[in-house]
Amino acid sequence: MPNRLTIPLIGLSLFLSAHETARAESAHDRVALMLSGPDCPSVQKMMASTLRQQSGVLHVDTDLMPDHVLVDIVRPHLTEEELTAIANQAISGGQCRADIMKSCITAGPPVHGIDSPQSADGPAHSH
Amino acid sequence: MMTRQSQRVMTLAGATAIALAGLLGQTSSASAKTHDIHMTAVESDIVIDGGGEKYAAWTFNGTMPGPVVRVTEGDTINFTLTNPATNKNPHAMDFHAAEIDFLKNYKAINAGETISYTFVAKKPGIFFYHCGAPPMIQHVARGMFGAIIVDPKDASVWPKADREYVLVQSEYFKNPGDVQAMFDRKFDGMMFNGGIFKYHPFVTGGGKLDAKPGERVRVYFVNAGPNEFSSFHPIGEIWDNVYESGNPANKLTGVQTYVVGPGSAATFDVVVESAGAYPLVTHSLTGALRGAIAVLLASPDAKPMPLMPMVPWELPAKAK
Repeated sequence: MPNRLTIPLIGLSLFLSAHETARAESAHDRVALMLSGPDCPSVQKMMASTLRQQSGVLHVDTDLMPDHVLVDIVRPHLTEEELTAIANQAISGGQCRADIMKSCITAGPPVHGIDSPQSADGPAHSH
Repeated sequence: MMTRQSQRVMTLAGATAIALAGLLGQTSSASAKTHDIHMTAVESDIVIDGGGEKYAAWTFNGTMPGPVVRVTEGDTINFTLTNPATNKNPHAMDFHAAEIDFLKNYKAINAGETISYTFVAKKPGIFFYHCGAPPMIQHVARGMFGAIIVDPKDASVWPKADREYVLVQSEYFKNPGDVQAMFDRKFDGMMFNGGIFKYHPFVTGGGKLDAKPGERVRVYFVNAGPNEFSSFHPIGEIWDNVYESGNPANKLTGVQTYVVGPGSAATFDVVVESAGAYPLVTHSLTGALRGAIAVLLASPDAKPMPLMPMVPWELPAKAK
């Protein structure tokens, strides 16, 4: 026979779980898209403009790092893969390609309470 | 055999030399400056990442790290610490650049009290300063630390730097009240200048450090800890020179990685040869991949930057 406290405890547990899920849903990430190809300087602005119009995109930066477009997104409204596909579609036809930048300085998996900027499961370069 | 006249000349020359030496000594002493440094212990929330996460910090003057103090070898520092009555905890100040009695000068003062002391910065270098109130591990972890640069009296003892930065590494503990986690080394992030990935442009809100190709960039590096060692390395480069404790007399050349322990410091020179990105990291990867990465971006149009950029943190634009 369930204790009288069981139902309220289950309720509280479900509430906390939903709260945690909601927090995860609002996680912000920065995706670094590395551009390669001779046409990139001429199509970069067009790509940025297209990305800015996407739902789930908070901010697009084309100045901070050369040959990169930095995009702040809200997960799960937009995934890195979807973003990359949209970026490449925006510049299709020319000789420029956008790829997610992964390197030895890609941040590690999230520590509790700290949002990871990108997935860390990509290949790591040796250093 | 000496004549009376030559004896007189020698005596005169000797007297002149002594007088000149005295005068030079006076000149040297006279060129030393006195600095009145006043800091206030501030217990307040500060932003520690580009997402705007706030941390219940204890600081000097409201920033983590506290203000950079810069003096010249031989200068006198009259230091005063105020612990406002509105604070809840005792605080103190320990300058590693000072050579003075610990009991009298580094004792903790309660809220509502003030302490003053004087020291001469006798040795050049980059030195740590921190709160020493108990439990010191918590006062350091919560942000009561900073850097003091003591420039050498003779600037020609080392190459002139074209650009200078101060980087202070420290550990981030998510729960600032969990002293046991601090003793257990269970840190949740690693910070440069009080921010997680503060100078990592691939992270939300992250910035970078600028330089021009060919410039000698001098990094005054302090490891505030409280516990972890830093293995400081420039990815894509080699330190041209490393100066232990920042003293020009302690010079190493061609160094890939140099270990700076908690409570220690060193000065690092790098000349980036070509345009590109050169991340400065602790090669203790649990620290680097949790926040201790500062990307040095070399570009011909690099602009001047402050000695300690983005302190306090500039929140990222959220414009769509």
